Amino acid sequence: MNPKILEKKPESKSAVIDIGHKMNLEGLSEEFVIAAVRTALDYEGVHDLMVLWEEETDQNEKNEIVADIQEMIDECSQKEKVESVYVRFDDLDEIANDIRTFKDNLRHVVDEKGGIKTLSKLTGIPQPSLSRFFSSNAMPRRATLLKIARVLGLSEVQISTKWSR
Amino acid sequence: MDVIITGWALDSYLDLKHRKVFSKEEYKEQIRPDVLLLRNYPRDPKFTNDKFWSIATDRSGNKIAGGYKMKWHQMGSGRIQLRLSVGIFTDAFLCEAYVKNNDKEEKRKLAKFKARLQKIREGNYTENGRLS
Repeated sequence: MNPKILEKKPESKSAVIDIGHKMNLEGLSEEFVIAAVRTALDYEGVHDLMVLWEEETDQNEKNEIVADIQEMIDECSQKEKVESVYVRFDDLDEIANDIRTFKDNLRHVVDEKGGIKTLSKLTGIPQPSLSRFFSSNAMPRRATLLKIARVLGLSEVQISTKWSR
Repeated sequence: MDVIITGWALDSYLDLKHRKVFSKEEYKEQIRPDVLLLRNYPRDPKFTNDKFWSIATDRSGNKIAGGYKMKWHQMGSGRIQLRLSVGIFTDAFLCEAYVKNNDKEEKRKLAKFKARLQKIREGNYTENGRLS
């Protein structure tokens, strides 16, 4: 926990925990809520996202915020600097196409095994987050792929892609 | 000042490029030259033009420390508003390029930007090379 955040905003901790309870009451998994609260206590930006979620009344927008929070839970778990390869602008299309093909194939397997709703229940990853995972052309996270593989009984080959983080 | 391409910037470029938000020509003739100005930050006069460069603020309107936005207007065939969040420390960190669709979405983007700047300050981020 970053003590600086709590020193500045002593009310933050209880406020974030309250929002976590509300998230749980609205059907978000305990695993997600615990990770969200922990991350929000360390990162003010994630705290902001939780407050935005609480203030929001439109369900679609709330779903987007949930997907953002899950993204930040994953990103904030990175505990070191990673030096990765430089990608030329002219190669972006080819890489994005590879990622698209990989995610479409994986989505096909997921659909055969009950679809995103089932996958969400099994992994604890919120549905909006999984929907964004499959629709965006961003590089998939290895940790997410492993979670999916574990609950659906997929092999290493089925989750292998050279473009993952 | 070095211009660092973070993993977040690369992911956003991949998504925008695949969705054909901007063309190769727009990237090479407008976006890249503007981003390269960061090597001499803040000497270029474009950094005093708030239609091109502004301080990033959070949901409460507070300044995000080290956070800025580079802005392009009427970009692409869809005439979109393109934004690039940039962290300025001893180097310039390209964080996320995105289309500004509405205020709610931008508030979410900026909340994530605030957390990512913290990751940069901690030294826990992914670097995908430097622009030169």
